Amino acid sequence: MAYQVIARKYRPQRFAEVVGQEHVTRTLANAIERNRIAHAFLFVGPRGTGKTTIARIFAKCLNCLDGPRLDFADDDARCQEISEGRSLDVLEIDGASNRGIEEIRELRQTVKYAPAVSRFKIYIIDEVHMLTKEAFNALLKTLEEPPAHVKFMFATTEPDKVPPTILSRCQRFDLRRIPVRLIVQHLAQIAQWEKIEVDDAALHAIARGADGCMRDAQSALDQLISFCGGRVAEEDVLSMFGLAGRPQILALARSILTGEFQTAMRLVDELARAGKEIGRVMAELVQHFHHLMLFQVTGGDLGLLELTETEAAAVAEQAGLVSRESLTAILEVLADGEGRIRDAVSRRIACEVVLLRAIEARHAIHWDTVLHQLKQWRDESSPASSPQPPDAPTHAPPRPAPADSHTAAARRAPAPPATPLAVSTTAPSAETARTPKSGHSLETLWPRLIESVKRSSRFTHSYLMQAQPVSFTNDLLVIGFAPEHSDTLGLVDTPRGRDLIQKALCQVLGRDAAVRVVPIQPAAASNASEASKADSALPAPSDPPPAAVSPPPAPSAPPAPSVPADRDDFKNDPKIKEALEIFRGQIVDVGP
Amino acid sequence: MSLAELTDQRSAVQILQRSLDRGRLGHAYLFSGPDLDLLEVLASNLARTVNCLHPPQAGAGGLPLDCCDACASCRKIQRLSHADVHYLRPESKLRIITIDQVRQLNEAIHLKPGEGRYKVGIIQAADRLNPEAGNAFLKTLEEPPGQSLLMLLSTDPGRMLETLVSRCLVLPVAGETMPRLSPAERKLLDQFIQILATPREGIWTRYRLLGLWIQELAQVKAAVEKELSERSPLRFHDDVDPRLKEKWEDELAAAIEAEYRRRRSDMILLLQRWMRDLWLCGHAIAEPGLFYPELAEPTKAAAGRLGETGAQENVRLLERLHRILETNVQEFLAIEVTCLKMAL
Repeated sequence: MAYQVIARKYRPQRFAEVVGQEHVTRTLANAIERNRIAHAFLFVGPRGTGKTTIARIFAKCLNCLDGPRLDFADDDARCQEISEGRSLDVLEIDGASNRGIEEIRELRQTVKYAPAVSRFKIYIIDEVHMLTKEAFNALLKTLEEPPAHVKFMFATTEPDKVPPTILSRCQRFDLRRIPVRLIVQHLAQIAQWEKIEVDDAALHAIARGADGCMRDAQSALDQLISFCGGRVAEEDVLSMFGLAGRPQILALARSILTGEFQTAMRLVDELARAGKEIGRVMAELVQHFHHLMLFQVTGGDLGLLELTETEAAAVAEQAGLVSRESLTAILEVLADGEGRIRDAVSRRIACEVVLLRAIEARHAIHWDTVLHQLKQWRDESSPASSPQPPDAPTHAPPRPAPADSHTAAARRAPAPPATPLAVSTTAPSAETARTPKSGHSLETLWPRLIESVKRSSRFTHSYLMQAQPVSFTNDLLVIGFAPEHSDTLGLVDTPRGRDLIQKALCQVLGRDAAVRVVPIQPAAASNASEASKADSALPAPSDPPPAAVSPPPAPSAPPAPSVPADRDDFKNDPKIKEALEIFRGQIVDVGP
Repeated sequence: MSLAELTDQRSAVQILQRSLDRGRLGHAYLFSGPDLDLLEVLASNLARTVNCLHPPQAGAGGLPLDCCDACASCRKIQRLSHADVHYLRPESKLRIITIDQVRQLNEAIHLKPGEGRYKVGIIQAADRLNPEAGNAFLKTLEEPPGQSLLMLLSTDPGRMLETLVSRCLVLPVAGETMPRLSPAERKLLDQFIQILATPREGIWTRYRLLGLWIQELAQVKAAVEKELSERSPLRFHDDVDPRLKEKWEDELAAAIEAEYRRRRSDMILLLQRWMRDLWLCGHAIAEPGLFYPELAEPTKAAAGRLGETGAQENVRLLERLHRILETNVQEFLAIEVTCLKMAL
């Protein structure tokens, strides 16, 4: 006979052989002994815990000779038929492929006929959760009051997909995940039958990886025997199932705690090359950090954690590296990332991003602390309001520093916010910019202007949302666009756009005012003003920051629009003439 | 190609050969690894091995250890025309494997082998089995009749039903080999880099990028259409029953769409990987850590322009694009939005 995998070869044939489900088998055994057998059973439980197996054994108990009884003979003809799947009266149906109402109707047709040779006609419907709604409903009447010779047994991993009307008509049995201890015992037994030597540690490693599922454990053992032959050691298990990643996981956790991004990347690279599933790495990392947190919270109690010695040592050492706050922050980032990596298309990239964020989170300060600190500053500064620090906070634009991620922002927050304020081209002195005579300060004016623009043009409004007010002096409002929004700048800085904003501004102020739109350099606020003092022609070109490849707008150049003078030149330009002809246009205004 | 020639997958091959040698070949395997084509090569080799007529060596259990790659059976499997080797591929328009396909396979597996020793079912991209199809496969996968070998191939086993995975012997195949740039990919990236490097002309840069992207996709689609139409039975039989013809036409349309989606996804992945390189450049990662070390120079230049946040944001945007393109979203609009949002 062809080779059968262990999970099939050693499928339990009696209730006594079923591992870890005594609460179910005892109930069923009692039902048989007292002859109180219901007509519909539902077996529920995670994969590989014995649902189908129990249903089959129960079918044998019911249909064996002189039954129903528990101790059927091994060579009982009926039972052998059932084992081989050729019994006329035990119909095992795959609920997932025969899921329609048509199949159920056919089943109902056959229900009324008496069994061919056995006592009962038994329908085992596996994966019953996949039946369609119509199919379930078609089954209801039969399931509630079947003929005396009919028994139904359903097995499913997802009871919540089975309608309550079905559930209430069945006796439900919930199977449990099998504890590691029992899996180890059972595997040891199988190894003995197969005449294989397996280390105790190896068995434990397999059982831990199986997650309470006997079939997974048996598959693993099967593969190991294929690979190793007569002797299986722990190293084989570890190397074969990639569990050897443990030291690597510990190293990865360490690199996060010490903030070594390069090391972390190298480790991820190694793990990926070793064919380890990134999702699993992430899960293990989260688990490790969970251990670290428990260790810190309990004050070094290792009793709660099921750890090997090396792991325990690593946990004890790493828990000392960071504060509890940082640890919580890292754990949050990782746990959040774990969920996201599952859906990611390129998991490796997603994993790398999460690791970077975790490293950043190390320095994170909780929002509460930030708020507390800010409040403290405010309380300190408010009594002495007259010497308003010439610092920027009050002047902060509505959209402060481009926050790359909230953790990073949080990290920066306690420092006095850097003002990415720009270079006003007219170079008014800072004081005048902040104290306009008109009584309209920049901060109060800006939201009102935006509101006003919103009423006249939604488009312009949306563009302005990306802008920052730069200064308002002598009835001239300067609006700045950071480089990342320079596309929008082109859309606003048109005659029509300026006109519209100007009108809105006049409405708000109640008098005439002018508007100018300029590009600004976020990081260069202070540099540029110094540069403008030093050199009036050009900004110091010494070492432009790498981010600025587009030429920085000459911050100190005299106000560009020398418009009226250029106007005639402009009109006479041959290209402009040609353009005017093509578009049949006329020059209304010449902008800078 | 025979098993012995798969040197990069040494460990997986070794496990399989030892299983054959000891006569302990399982009935259901799940090959998981980063490269689907490679998994298919391995699966095809195993199928040839168990059905080989003149195996070069046989194990103690009487099973062949490798295929000769020359006998009639081996050649038939190579040409995908062996009667006992069945392939399931995602073929519907949404690139999923449907329950009907699985039912056909179930039926085939339950028949006796026609010409070979083993009936082989190879499910390519098993993570694309939809829940109905996956569940319909469970019973067959757990207890197939004798002389059956089922192989599920997946780049992403985490997305499969765990009830499916638990019924298979899982075999991780090879580590990640860094993706190599094909000339076409290289060309695309070069164009992309060029657009990034030219001075900015406001919003037009973005639309030029969009133009490039759409044009590239149109070419991909045309290529897929041509390739698959040439293989379709429609080309060889022009006097068939109209209903059969219609069925073939539907199948062809679905296959074209599925293949196009796969390649489109590869293209986005290419950009995403490059963006990730760009992002890592900001962190002074050594060149071996990059996906595309040959592009290190332009990547560094672009990294300087975009900055770390820009690149990270781009990675996120491409990831999002990837995900929404899996749904019914309108392709052009999704790409346009991404182009407009990207940091350039």
